[in-house]
Amino acid sequence: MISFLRGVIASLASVVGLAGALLVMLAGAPFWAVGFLTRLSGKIRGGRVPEALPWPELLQFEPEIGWRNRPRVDGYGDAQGVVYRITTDPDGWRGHVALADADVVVLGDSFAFGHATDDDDFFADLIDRPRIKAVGANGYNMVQELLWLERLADGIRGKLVVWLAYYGNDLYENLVPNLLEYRRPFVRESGDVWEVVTEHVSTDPWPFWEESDFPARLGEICSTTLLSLRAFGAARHLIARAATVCREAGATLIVVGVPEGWQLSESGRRRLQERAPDPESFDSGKPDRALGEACARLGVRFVALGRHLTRSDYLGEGHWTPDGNGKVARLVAEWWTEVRRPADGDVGGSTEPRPQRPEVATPIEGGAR
Amino acid sequence: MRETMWGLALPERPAPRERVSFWLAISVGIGVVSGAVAVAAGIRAWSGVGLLVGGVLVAVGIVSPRLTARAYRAWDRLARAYGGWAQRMILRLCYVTLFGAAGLGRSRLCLSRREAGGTTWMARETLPPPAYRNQDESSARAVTTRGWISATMEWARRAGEWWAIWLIPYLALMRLLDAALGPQAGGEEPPRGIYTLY
Repeated sequence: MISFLRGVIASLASVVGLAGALLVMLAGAPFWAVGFLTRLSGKIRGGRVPEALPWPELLQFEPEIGWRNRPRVDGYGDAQGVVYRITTDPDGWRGHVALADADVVVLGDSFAFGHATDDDDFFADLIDRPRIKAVGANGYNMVQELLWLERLADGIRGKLVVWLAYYGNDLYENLVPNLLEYRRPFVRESGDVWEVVTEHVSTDPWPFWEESDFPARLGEICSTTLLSLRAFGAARHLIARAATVCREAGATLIVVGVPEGWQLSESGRRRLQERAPDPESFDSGKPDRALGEACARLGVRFVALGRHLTRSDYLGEGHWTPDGNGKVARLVAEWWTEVRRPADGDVGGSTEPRPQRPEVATPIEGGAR
Repeated sequence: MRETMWGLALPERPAPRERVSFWLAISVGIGVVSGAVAVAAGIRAWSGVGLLVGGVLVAVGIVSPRLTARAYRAWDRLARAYGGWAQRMILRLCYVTLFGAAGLGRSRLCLSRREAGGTTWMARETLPPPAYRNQDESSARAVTTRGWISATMEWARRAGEWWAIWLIPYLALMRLLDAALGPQAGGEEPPRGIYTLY
């Protein structure tokens, strides 16, 4: 009997409680509706929410270089939650133009790979002429890119080679033998001579590693520090080797300094400066000047991309937006037009490179110097 | 987790078309609300108001994909915040109404410590291995073959605590909200760098 009465009291109380719970649930009606409609589109259009390929499925081991993109990938990548469509060619590079048919070869890291960029927005596929072949992979440093340039030297004759040097991590990572547990080539200084080191590259996981604080390293490189001296020394060595490769192959080299997005806003520069070990000597434009001077000495044209892009051309995760990709595509087309000899017509590059015109970088306007 | 159409949290890795759908849903929703407000305000062309507002929002989304991406993230955060609040509110309602009533009705369940500094831990006998999914007095068969609702009902019957059947709708709502919020960030595996001891 008591049990029955307890059940009756609980029933009456629960009716009140559940009425309240119903109101709580109804308060979320807009969220339920929007969530449903957002998912519904995937069903209606016959697709499902794409699953991004994990990092190891996009890459494979490459002797001496460490890793390369898997060939014939047809899937989706993940850039901090943004899923983007990726396809790669039989060599593992993105873009629908074959290297042999390209007018321009863009060499680089994740920017050349088009990380966070759908195939439809990828700079290499946005314009018909020049035909652009992007040779890049996520996580590459300039050493890996140089090694690819040397391997592909026979195929770049008469082409424009655009080498993207990303300040966010390339300058630092040129000096580092690993990316997380992956081994990679790097440069080291022996006496006064820089040399590329590859003998440690294998599939064995690198035993000691930690995630790098790249903004702190960039702040350090932009200041008067030992790391800064070494980073620019290494970059000079790599650019000199690339210039030699291109000269011997009959190609024209342009080095493009790609700024970290933070370098393009006042607040970002302040944040970098705060992380610098010597904020007094921090100079956000230092990489542009150092690489510009190195290129000028070598007779290689240098372009500071920071003069052409704004912070809004970068996604929150750090790579170019579709608009940013569009700007880069147009710039590549301009450079190609400038280096082409009039006698070449419209059917490709020269067999002999035009004398290279150094373009010494001017500082990025505004911000800490 | 099985993919479901219902969810409070938006897909964590949206395809471009899903972001477009999200923005369309938001635009249509705000358009409808605007039309309703126009009706309440006595505006004759209420449908025009709704269409205009919705249309402008759609156009803004086309012009500025960055805005839609930001709105998507903001909405997702808001939806998750609502989900957390709803779960807390339902638990509170359950506690105040159902357990309150059970307490007033002198339930035999131990709903509070019997003495200051005491413990509510209870001694248990060894159970058959299949029963370890649910270590109460319900039979192993009920737990393993008929699901948690049957198990709860059987336990209520055996214990003479019929009021506990009313827990089922609350538990169902909690389960629904839990599924709608999806896996928590980083909930699949321990964060990197954590040296686990198990």
